[in-house]
Amino acid sequence: MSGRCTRPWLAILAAALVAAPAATANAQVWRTVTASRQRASADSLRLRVYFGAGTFNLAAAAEPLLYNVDMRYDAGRVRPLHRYDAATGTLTIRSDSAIGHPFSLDLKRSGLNFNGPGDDRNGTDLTVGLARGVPLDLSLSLGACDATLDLANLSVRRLQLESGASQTTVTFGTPNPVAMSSLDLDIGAAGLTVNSLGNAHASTVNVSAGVGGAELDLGGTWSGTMNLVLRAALGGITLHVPQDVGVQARVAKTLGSLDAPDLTERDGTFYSSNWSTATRKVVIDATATLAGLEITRD
Amino acid sequence: MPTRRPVYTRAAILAAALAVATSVTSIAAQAKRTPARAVSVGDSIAAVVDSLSRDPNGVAIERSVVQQGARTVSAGETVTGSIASWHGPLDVRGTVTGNAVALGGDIVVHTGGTVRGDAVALGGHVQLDGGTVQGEMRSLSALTVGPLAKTVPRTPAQATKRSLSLAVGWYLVLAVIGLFAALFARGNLETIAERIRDDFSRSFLYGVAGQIALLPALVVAIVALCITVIGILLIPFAIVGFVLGGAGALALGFLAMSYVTGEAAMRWRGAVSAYTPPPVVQFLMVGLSLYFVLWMVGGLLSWAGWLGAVLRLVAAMVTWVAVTVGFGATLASRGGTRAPGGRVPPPQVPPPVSDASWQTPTPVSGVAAARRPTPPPRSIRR
Repeated sequence: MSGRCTRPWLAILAAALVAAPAATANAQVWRTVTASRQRASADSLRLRVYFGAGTFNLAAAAEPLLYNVDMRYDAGRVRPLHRYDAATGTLTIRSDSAIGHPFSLDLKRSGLNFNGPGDDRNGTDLTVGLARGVPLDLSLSLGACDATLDLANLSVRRLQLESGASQTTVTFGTPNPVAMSSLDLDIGAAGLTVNSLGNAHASTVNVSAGVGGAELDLGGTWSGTMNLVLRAALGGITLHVPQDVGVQARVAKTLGSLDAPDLTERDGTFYSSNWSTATRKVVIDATATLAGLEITRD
Repeated sequence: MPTRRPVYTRAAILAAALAVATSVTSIAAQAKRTPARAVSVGDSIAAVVDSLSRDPNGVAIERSVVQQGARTVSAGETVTGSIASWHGPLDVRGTVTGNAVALGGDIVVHTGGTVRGDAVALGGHVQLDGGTVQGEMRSLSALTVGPLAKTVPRTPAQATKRSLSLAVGWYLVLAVIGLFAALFARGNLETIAERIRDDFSRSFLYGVAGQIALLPALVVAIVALCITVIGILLIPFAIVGFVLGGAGALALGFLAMSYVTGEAAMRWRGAVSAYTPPPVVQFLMVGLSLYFVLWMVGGLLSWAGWLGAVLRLVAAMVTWVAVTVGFGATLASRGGTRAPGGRVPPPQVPPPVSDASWQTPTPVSGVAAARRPTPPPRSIRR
């Protein structure tokens, strides 16, 4: 008799496998929302974005629009909200996401599903277009997403970017026609790439990079002196500085490192050989904690 | 004497029962969605207008402004208030002082046309053909009404599906981990199981204390690393290692508890031979399956309201006790490297193979030989 019941767990396993297809989660419900507004007499625009998981793109909008918002989302997990306050000229965009359980079975997606905060395999797609020639005040708070900010042809007066675990690329494709009063980039556990930062027209740039590190290209059209305040922790920051730019770097290291073969140290400060003769200069004030700072000349 | 069905028959019956049960919930959900009566166009319009006003990206309009079919605001014409079309395009060549809405159609604002409010197309698009929209232009593929899914109370069918999904997912994950543990950490697993059998209550107390001490231990470790300065570099690795170690200890402990549970169940059923080595995988899977059945029963009765909740609570409590006991035994046995009494478990070596075993069809060693009645030893006669 005992031999008949030697593998009772096989029965349960078989039952689990049979029951699995019936236990799949609900199908996704995709929605798209497109919202735009004609520019009319608007003389400035403040943009506030609070975005969770997915893909975020920002670029110039087509004329004659003040803004254009395209969002594709799963209605079962995300509620997109956008509001434009004409009195203050503020456009606010939010996407609130639901977070699933760490382990669940969803055969319609990819078999055994390992969810988690920042799971963006089926995340929201958000594309925002902004008017050209209108002074912009941008405040972006991103969660775990792939973000691409193409700021070419835009007049950015202020940019504040906070990112949790996003891979973010910022490109100043053309010279910014207005001076930036502040440019703050605060990146947490993902990577940041800034292209043609010289086009930003910012006298002071603050970059705080976490685990993922940051790569800053100081190329572009600019003159005078740019102050670059860098805070690196656990990751690293790589600077690509054009050959004609004079470099002065003060680096405070706490178990960190500086890799700048073209710079010479004098009184605790590093200088490039063309520091005294260069027509445009960058002054770097860096803090590296368990991180590395690399300065290369392109 | 009643005869028992073979194991595969019971497996098939249980599988079929689960499949039927879950199918019934699906059918019930579908039946619930089927309208009981025909819905009139007027009802549909009223429902859509109501939902549109509650959609975060929608707009509020009066039901009375909606008319079926295509609509046109002619040049020079002024519509005071809002205008809306139902299943037809809306062409604006004149002026609309309120909102322009197309429910199931496009909105085209032609040259000379003006919409002073918003232009909203549900299931269509808003197109500018030289006109002006002073408000916002919005195109919605469909309505999104209600709060986030995480705050929406699930229907009984959804709750059942979700509970089953989670139970099956966790079961399969633990089954895979258990197989690896049985293959590569069998000795540790058996030592922890032995510790559980020997001192269940102490293992439970150790487990509770261990769970309480987890976070303080991590903090102490980080502080200690900071004090050594050079250890600061190791903090990220220490955190990851601590989390992995803690999760591993919990998992290994639960698997050992499943092993003990499965062993007890199989011995109770008389399905274990005293002469064969312990079937580790079977013990493990039977134990895991018993816990899984608890969760499945709770999940299948999710539709039953408080009864399902009570069953899931029972399953949670039983599982927590199992995890705690297993975790405590894991700590007490130092990950299965110390047997009860502080002795180190002997290394596992394969049984010796008799050199003569291949020379004769009659087994001279092993299980078959052990089972054979052997005559008493005879004295050597000279």
